[in-house]
Amino acid sequence: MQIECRNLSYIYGQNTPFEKVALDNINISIESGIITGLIGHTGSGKSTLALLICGLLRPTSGSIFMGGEEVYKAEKINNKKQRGVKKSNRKSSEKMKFKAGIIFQYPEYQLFEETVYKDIAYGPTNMGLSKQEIDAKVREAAEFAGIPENLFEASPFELSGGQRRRAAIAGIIAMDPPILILDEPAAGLDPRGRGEILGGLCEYQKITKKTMIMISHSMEDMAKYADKVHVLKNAESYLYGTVDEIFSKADELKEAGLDVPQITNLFLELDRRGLKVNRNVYNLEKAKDEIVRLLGGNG
Amino acid sequence: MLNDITLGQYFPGNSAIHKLDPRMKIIIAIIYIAAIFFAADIYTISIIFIINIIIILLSEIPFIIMLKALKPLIFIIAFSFIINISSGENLLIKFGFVKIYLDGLLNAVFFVIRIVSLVSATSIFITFTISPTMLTDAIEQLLSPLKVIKIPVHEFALMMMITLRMIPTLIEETEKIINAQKARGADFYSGNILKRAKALIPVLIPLIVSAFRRADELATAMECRCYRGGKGRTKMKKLKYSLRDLCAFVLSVVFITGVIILPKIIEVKYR
Repeated sequence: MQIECRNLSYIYGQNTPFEKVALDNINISIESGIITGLIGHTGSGKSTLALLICGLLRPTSGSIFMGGEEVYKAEKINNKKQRGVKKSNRKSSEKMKFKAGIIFQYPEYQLFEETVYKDIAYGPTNMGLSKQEIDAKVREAAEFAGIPENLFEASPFELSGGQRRRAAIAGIIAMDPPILILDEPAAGLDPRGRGEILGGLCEYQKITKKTMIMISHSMEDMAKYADKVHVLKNAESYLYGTVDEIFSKADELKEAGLDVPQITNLFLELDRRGLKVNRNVYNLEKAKDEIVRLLGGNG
Repeated sequence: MLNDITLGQYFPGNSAIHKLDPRMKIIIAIIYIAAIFFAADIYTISIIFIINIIIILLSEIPFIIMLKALKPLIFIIAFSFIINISSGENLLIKFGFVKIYLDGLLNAVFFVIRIVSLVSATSIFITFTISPTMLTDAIEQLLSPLKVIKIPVHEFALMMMITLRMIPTLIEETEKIINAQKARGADFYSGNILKRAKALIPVLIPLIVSAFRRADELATAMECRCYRGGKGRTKMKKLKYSLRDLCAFVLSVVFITGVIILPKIIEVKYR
């Protein structure tokens, strides 16, 4: 499902001394069926954008279109019509519900039910599905997230840290939202756990062809998983392009307080020291090809 | 929606009131409250009110903020005002069944000034000008004589400090959990009271679990740094009484004596 943000702004604590512009009039479109990375320095507005797309925040101004349909109109400050506008707003945010699922940092802290099964079923139950549908969704999601059936009746608080995180992720996948947002769900994991969680979710995206938005600080993860990348800087949209295009603009990225993957830095340094190399190397595969080319061999 | 909660509304500043020792400010606040209750007639309370305004000016706290602190009391003030003006002896004005009496009016003003002075003085002396850390420190030292009868004063102060420290953290945590459950379709705003209360379970359970987790982590961290209670513990910022504090103390003692004695002298003379 395609997402379009038009002139979208969000201001925290408007009209108070603590006013802070989190998003300043941005126009972004997120393509359907691919993984779009969202990167930016701390405070650049990535998480706010994610909350807006989920309908957890209301934009201060501007609008969001999903699949060509306007799901939310900003609250208009027009006292006469306020009541009418508010009512329609409620409806549209209702429309927005269940379109986008979001997996937050440390998702395991949202577990609360007595059993893992019930917890995974919480979302689908809120959607008002029938019992058979819920059961099917829960089993499917648990399988994707790697929760074996013998854990269904266990308490989520008895599980290990990794299993708890998987159970929480299953709880969101079970709602089967057309848009899935990952707000650093692999935070605080070792590299292997990171690879398992992110790799698993991306594989899930490949199979289901969902629209996925991935927020991360790790440029390596972006290079590995994302198809296209949006870069935010100081509450504004700064760069947009394929992973290839973005990581070839190392200087602009550094301007935004970001970096390129380590491996790209290595090749940039080689370039600076006078070796004629491709400046656009961001993963091992490409690095290998490039080194082979430099050595003049055919592999 | 939780952003409206402001706690420990400390206003950093460098005014005469700010510079007083926090222990002395607590003592002065107690004396002041006692004085307000000793004031039995409208003249004394008017003098207290004028002094109150001087204290507000001395503290350099903006009046708007003072008014905000008084806002939650508006109902109590209005209620006592209405009750008071409609009882008494000398009828002043009469609109249909609404009767306003002269001494009722004076009584009403008296009570309103009393409430306003009470709240504004305690806010000025305690909440607005003492930072939470200083406050716990001051309370610990003021209560330290109780150690003699084996009351763990230091531990109480520590508990108070940790509580204050954890409130913003838990608010942040609550917001995160609310967002996560909302994204899973939780609905906190519709249905009857029972349904809404039930909808809060997915927020409360993770919150309690995380509060325990944080408590556990903090206890471990303290143990790792060999924390073992108040015995023999030194302070980085030692509280010291200065000449300024002595002056303030003498002034407030003179003030309360005046409030108690003056009306009696006047009474004796004019009778």
